[in-house]
Amino acid sequence: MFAYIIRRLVYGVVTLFALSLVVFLLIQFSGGSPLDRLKLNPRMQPVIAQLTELWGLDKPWYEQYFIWLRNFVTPVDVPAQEGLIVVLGKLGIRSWVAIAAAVAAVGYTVALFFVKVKANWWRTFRAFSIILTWLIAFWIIKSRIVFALNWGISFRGDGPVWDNIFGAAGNTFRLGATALLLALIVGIPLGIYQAIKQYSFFDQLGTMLSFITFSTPIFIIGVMLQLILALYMERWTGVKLFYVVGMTSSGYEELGRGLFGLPSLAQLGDVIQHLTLPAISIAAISMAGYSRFQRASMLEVMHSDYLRTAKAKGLPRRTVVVKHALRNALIPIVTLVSLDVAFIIGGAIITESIFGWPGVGRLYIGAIQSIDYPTIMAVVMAIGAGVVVMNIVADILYGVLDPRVRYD
Amino acid sequence: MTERESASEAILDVAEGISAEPITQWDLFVTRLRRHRLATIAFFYMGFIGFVALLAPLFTCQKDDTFCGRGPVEMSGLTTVLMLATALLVGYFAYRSFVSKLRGMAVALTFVTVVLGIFLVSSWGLLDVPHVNHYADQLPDESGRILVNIAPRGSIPLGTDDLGRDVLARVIHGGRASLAVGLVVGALVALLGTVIGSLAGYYPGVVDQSLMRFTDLVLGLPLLPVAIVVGRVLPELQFLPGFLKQGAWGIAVLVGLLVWGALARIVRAEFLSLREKEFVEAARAAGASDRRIIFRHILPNALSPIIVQTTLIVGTAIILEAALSFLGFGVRPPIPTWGGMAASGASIAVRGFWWELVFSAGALISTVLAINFIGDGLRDALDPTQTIERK
Repeated sequence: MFAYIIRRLVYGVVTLFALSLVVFLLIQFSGGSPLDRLKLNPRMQPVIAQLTELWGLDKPWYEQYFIWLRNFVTPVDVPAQEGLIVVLGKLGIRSWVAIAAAVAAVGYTVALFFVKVKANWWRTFRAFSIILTWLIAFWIIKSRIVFALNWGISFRGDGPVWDNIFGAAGNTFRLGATALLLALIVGIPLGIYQAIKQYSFFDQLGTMLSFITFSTPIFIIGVMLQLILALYMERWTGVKLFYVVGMTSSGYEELGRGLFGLPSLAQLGDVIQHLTLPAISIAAISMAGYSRFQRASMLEVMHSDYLRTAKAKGLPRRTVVVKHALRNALIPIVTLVSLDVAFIIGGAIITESIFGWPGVGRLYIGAIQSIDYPTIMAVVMAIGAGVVVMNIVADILYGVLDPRVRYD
Repeated sequence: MTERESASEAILDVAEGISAEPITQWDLFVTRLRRHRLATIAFFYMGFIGFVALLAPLFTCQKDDTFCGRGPVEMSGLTTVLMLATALLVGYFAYRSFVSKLRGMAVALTFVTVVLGIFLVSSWGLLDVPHVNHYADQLPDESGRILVNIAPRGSIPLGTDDLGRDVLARVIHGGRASLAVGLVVGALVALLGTVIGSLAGYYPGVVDQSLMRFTDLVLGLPLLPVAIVVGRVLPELQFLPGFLKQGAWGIAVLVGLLVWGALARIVRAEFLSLREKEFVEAARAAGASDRRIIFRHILPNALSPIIVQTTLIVGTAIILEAALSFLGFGVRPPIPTWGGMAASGASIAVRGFWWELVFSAGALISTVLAINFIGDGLRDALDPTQTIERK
């Protein structure tokens, strides 16, 4: 198992290398300098010279690639403003604390896999302690904002890419996590109910609806929701239920603070009004997929031999469905959910640009439009790393939940 | 007697020794496919969409074309009805020829060849963009004013957009991009996925390992972000030939090169299991070459997942192209695509002009839906474990 994870991680790193090379070459061969926009402004001459030297923009592409690669993995200290351009400093003591936290988290995770205890409580403890360690490490790294990798400075003059991405990632996480949760709590029960009432009117209706949703591009769902549930509804009924742009209203801070610095009810309501429509548009397709998948997996279990045995023993139908069927039918969907992360990130890119959501997706689209290559590379690598990690997590989870699966 | 009965009757005839006419796999396939009502309708619909999109330059007027009188306004009334009627007829015959019992395959192939020929002849509209802008024509009224944002009405069945262009003409032309993407991606995926998957599945060891690592690599790329980068820089890439930079072809090739991985895995899995079967062993014992075993023994048995998966990937590819065009990194305006029309339609729908968005979105959704139904129907029809008497 451990060797398997290490091997997968190595493949993952190779994939990321290939990804970075492909994107880098595409940008290199697309003609024109990435600094073309800055050149329009005569005041930017010193900045251009500085960036050209920093990124080796006058060197051949392979040297530029290695400069980028070296910078990409180099830790740097808090960015400091200097003239027109942000300069990333050398490592300070606080950065070393953050790095030590990250190394400790990795080390603890690796070390735990060497401890051989065959007990269920140990598995649970291991899983929770790893998650906890990573949360703490992440908090140390993030909360001080002392630690950064030298992902460069946006060519659009937005400051350090690391800060931009970590600022936007939280917003994308809020959107994506809500969407995933929504898809799960609607999709799975729907699929289970459809399987229990196979061939009923509800089942056929659900199948038809998920087929249609599955064939609808995410941008059409987003635009339609925006138009019908927000704009046209307000126009016809005068009720403003949802907002279509941004994460909060402009008067968000005046809505009052709740206890312990938590948002007040009014603020929570405002957030929900903004969050609902983009979350639904990302979730809709996954929802359809989950309900289809859950239905199939539930049906497969319902027709299995051991379930017939359970029924034949005279167990109540409820026990049969919940204890025997449902538990096993939920296993496959765990993998599906982990693999769905890539799809949700893709959906977030489209949805964020429709709903003006200040997340990674909008950052990416903006960077693409002006070929701001430090940002493009960083976003692509971050998403690629997320996909690689989630693929590995999917495999591990599957092995943990289904004891028949063995890795070699 | 309906066709469904006739097929069952034929099977019974053979079974009871009344008729000596053999029942081929094709007959069984067609009979099963016809059971799938929605797939049947979807086939019909795709024939219709394909026909309309392929012949789009013939239906809509060209600039300064005297045949159309004052321009596309006149044509949209009666000609639309004629066009729809012809298209329905041809679509029906396409469908009939595809599923007809008698030499269905031959007729279908002929039909596909003819259609492809027409497509190639008429596809200059996509290849040579600047000279053809019938879909970019603005509609003037008698006094010469441009009719901007006109709601659907008699002579303009689907209204006009914010530049005064006929939405119907643009929806028809927009289908060409989706169709080109569907065709090219289908062909590319079927080719790449099958070749790589079967080589990896048949030759274990180094070949399998290296090909599969490569496949994993391609599958590991985050699809949409990479597609967006490529779509963005595509028109500026220096080493590409001109026709790939503009229009749908470049996007189609790009999408095709990104999505074949899933099929390769499926084909490999099929090959791995089929390779160990007794009939392959028998063929090998009889001295058949690798090439013969692959092409004559294994591939025909692995065909059904290939067909089904390719169909489903085509649906995904059309959505991906539309999403790219919607974001502005796919086919660039003024070439109409459904995704691009949805983007511009969304911006004017805010002011209440819903038609461009609704009709382009409707065309897109119904096409992808039809493709998915066809995939579903094919999956059922190609499944040999399904008996013909199943419900």
